[in-house]
Amino acid sequence: MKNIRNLVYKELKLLIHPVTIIYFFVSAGMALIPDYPRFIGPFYILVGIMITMSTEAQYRDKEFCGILPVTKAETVKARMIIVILMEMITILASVPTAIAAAALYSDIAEPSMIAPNFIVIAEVLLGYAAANTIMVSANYRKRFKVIVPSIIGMLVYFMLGGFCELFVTALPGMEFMRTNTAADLLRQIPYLIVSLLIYLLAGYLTCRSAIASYEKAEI
Amino acid sequence: MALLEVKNVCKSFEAFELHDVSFEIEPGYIVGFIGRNGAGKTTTIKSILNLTKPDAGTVRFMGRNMCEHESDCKQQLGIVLGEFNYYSDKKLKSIAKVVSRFYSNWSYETYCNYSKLFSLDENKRVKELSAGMKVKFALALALSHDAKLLILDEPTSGLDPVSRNELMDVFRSIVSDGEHSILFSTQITSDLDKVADYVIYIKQGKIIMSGDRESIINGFRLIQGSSDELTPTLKDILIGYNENAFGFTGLIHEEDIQHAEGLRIAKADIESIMLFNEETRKERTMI
Repeated sequence: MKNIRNLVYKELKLLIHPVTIIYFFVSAGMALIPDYPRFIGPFYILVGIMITMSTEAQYRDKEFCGILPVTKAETVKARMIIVILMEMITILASVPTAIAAAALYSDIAEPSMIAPNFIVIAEVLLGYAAANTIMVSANYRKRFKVIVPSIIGMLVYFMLGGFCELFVTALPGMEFMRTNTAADLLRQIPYLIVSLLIYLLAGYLTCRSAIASYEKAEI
Repeated sequence: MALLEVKNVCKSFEAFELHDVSFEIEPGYIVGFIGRNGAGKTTTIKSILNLTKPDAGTVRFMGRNMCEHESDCKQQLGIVLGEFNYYSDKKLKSIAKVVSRFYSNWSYETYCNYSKLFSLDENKRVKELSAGMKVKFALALALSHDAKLLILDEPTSGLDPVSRNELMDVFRSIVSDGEHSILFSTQITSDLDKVADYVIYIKQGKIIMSGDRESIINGFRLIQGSSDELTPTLKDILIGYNENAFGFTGLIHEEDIQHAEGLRIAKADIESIMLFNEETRKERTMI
């Protein structure tokens, strides 16, 4: 565990690009836009993750980790922790502005998009789960690819987000997923929990498959 | 017990193969690892460090399997893979601070001493360092946690002769207690002549020579003579030779020295042994 802690520290100190912080603010700021697809704001952190992985290649971080007293598995686990950390900060940073948006735009009677609520977080978590599976896994396969898998991951995030918006706004009986009244928020909690479990399970499986690929890879 | 035991390590790539590489390193010795570019030195080192997964064979460090105890083994290893080309935009002090956290035996004092010896400016960024200074920084990091074995891939490349000489002194002082060892690959064979106790010579992925430096050197002789003295019989016996307008120079096994009667005989050095062994044809034509 100590090695993973040190690797996370190394990522924070040497690898994560300072521009990543901007994406936290972008996500938080975009939550304030009225009647807007709210899964788009948290999308930008995926760009931050792609930049971090590109910086890793530029800095030859994998080779450097190879000379440190750590295992390949610990390196992958530390990266997964960093990715989850970045995504969770993005979501948490958006919560205050989402609450503010909910108060500010409560007078919009018929919002065409999902209002700031737990379903937005659920769709973002599902999008992250899919994007992480594609981006992180590819980064530890034979050729350590970053850009193409990242673009695919981002596209999948958008498609999932778009599908959720469409599903919730177009289908009858889904009104409780669109709004943010106290009663509806309570009904949304199980969906949030399920998506969180899917996100964590996807993270775990991605980590396992990335470790298996990385063990065979040549650095 | 050997510090490092490499046994029958094999690794195949499309265009290159490492065949049954085996050697041992005992505590208290400096081992030079030589061979041409692409001969397999870096692949061997990467296989030892588990950066490349060998197809077969085992690597044991202090009696423990390197793959199974990678993290613990690397605590006792100081590793330099050429010049320090990582985190080019970061300051040396930031990198050193991060690295120090990984080693239980890290000594900040030792690190400062090497920084001073190598004239490293802690506030500089990696990209601002010359090639030689990058090597020195990598060495300072590798030497600061009392590693039992230093594995250094081309540590002297890019260093000026004075710095190389200083480094050789550092190497000697590290192994002087009889507990630490150094394995270093190099193209600069004169460094081996200065400090290496043992030499491992790899050619096309195979270890073709391995032993203590004196025995290896004493196993060969350089002979010189006029072109007339280079008879067909002698040509067959010579490991390699080159001919020019003034005569020839060749390398011969010590046990064949009776065939060189009447010729000038000199002690061989690592460079000439490597040069003549690397000839694909026996004859080298001087341009």
